[in-house]
Amino acid sequence: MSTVIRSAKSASAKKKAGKAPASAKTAPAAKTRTIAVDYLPRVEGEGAIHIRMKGDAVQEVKVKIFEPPRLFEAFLEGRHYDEVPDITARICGICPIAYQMSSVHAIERAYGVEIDPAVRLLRRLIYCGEWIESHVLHVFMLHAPDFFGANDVIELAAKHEDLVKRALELKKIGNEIVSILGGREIHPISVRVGGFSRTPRPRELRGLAENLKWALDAAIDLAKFTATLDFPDFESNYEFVALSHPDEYPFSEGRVVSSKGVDVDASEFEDHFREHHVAHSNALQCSHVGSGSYHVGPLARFALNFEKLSPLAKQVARDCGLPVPCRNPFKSIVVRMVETVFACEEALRVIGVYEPPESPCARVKPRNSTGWAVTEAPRGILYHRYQVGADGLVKAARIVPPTSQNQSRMEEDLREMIPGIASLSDADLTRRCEQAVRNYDPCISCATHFLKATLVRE
Amino acid sequence: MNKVRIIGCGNLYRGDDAAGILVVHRLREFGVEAHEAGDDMTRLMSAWQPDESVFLVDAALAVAAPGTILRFSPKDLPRATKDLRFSTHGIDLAEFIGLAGALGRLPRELTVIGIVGENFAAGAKVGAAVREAVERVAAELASLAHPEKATDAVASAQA
Repeated sequence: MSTVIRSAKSASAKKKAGKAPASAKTAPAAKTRTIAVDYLPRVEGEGAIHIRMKGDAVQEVKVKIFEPPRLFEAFLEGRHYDEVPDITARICGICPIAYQMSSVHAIERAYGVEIDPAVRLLRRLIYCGEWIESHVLHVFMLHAPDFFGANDVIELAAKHEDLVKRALELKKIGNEIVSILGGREIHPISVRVGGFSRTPRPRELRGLAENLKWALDAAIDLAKFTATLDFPDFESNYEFVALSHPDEYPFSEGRVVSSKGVDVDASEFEDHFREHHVAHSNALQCSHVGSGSYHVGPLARFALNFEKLSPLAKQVARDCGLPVPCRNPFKSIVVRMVETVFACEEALRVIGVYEPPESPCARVKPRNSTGWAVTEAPRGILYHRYQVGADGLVKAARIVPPTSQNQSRMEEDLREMIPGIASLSDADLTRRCEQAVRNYDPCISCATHFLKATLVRE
Repeated sequence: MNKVRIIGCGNLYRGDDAAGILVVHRLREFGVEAHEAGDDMTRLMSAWQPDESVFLVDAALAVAAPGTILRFSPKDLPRATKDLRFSTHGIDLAEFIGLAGALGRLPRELTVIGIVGENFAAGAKVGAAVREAVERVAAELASLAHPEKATDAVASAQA
C-alpha cells in the first residue's frame, strides 16, 4: 500500500510535535530543542525518531520502528512447511529472497535435508539478484538524494537524469535474475524447502550474461561515483556482526562472527544476541549479551569478509578509498555499491559453471525437530528458527530481522553524532539525523511506511 | 482504443493492503488479463508500454470511510513526498509516478485507483467495505478492458 492522502494527518502530526516542547519547559537554563519525527496513526510499519536536546547535549534519543515479522511469526504457526517460503517472502517486498532463504535453510536443517550443489549455486545466484536490486534501490532512489540535498529521487532525477536512468537499468538486471529463478517477480514462488519447484536450463541463464556484463561495468562506474560524494565526518567503534564462510563472501551459509570475538553457529544465536522490549517502541531491540549494541549490514560484512571479495571488488573498494574496516556509516552507500559489483561478478561466475541438478528438489522427510538459519539480507543478518513436526506443520517460529538488530545502534549513532553537529540549523540537523538512520537501510515497514519529520525549537 | 493494462499493487497478507491484488485476482476469474505487482514500485516502469492506458489499483490511507474509491491522474495524485521521504525501504507510489514522469516513462494514460483501507496489520482479514469496493472496481475495469466479459462481473458486483 503506497497511496496516502494526508492533509488531516499532517495536522495531527503538527499537533503532536507541538506538544513536545511543553514538557521541555520544565528544563531550566539551557535552550531545549526537540526533534520529533512523528508517526501516523492506523498504519502498520511506521517509523519514528524523537530527539531531545538541552543546549548541545543530547538528553534523549528514541528510534521506534515497527516490526512486521513479529506478526508473521504467529501467522506461520500451524502452517505446512511447504507454505513457509511463500509466506515469508511476503514479509518484505524488497527482500523476499532473504526471508525465503533463512526459512528454507532453517527447515532443511530441522528435517535433515541435503540440497544438491547445483541448487546451492542457484540460491547463490538468486541472492545476487536480490542484493543488486535492493542495494541499487536504496543507494540511488533513497539514500543518494540526501547527499545532493534533494528531497527525493524526483528532484535528483531532474538534475541527474542519466544517473537515475542508469541506476534503474542496473536494478532491473537484479529483478531479471529474481524473475527467472523465482518464477514470479515480486514474490518469488518457486523456492521450496529442498530446492526449487523447477530449475532453469543453462540456456535460460546464459541469456542473463550479456546484461550482467553491462551491469558489472555500470556497477563499477556507479561505485566510483558514490565515492565522490561528500561524507559527514563521523565514525564509531562498532561491534560488527556478520556471517563468515571459509571460502566465500557470505550469503546463506557460515558462522555468525563479530569484530569482538563472537564465533558461533546459527543454533547458538539466541544465546548471544537477545531481543528485549524497550518502553518507547513496539519493536524489540536486540543486543549482544554482555556487550550491548552491534552493527549488521554492508559495513559489517565488508569489515569481517573483505578478504573473500573478488580481486575486482577489492580493487574497486581501494579505488573508492574505502578503509578496511570502514567505520563511517555514511560510507555504507559506497560499500553497498562494492557489494553490487561483487554480486554482478558472482552471478556471472555462477551462470558460467551451472549445470542443472538431477532433481530440482530433494525429498523431505518430516520429523519432530528444530532448525536454525542465518542469512545475509541486503541490510544485514536475518535469523530464523522453526520448531517443526513429523506432521510437516510449524509449531513455533522466531524471526529476528536486521533492522531490530541495528535499532539500538541507530540510536547510539545519533547520540554520538549530534553533539558534533549541534550548531547546524534545525532543518539541517533534522535532515542529517534522518540521513544517519537511512545509513542502515532500515526495514521500517517492509511495505507500508509513513513518517512525518518535524523539528520544534524552544 | 489504446491497449488497456491493469496492474494491482499491495500485499495479500496485510489486511486491507490486499485490495489491489484482490482486484487482479477477481479480474482473472472473469477472464480479464491483469498484472500483480508487489510493493517495489520501480518495477512498474518496465511493466507498461508508452502507448497503453494503464489502471493502477492500490489500497489507500485517507481520511475517508473504508471502501471509498479514489481516482487520480498523475497530475493530481497527492505527492506528499517531503513527508514520505523518510520511507527508506521501498519507494512510494506517488513518488514513483513522479519519477516516471521526470524520466519521460509514463504511459499515454494512467489512472490510479485507490481503495481506502482501514486495517493493514499482517495477517488481518480484509474488511467487508474493502471487499465490496474490490468487486465494484473489478467490475468497472472488466467492462473497460473487455466489455463483452463484463456482464458476469457487473452481476457479481451488484449481488
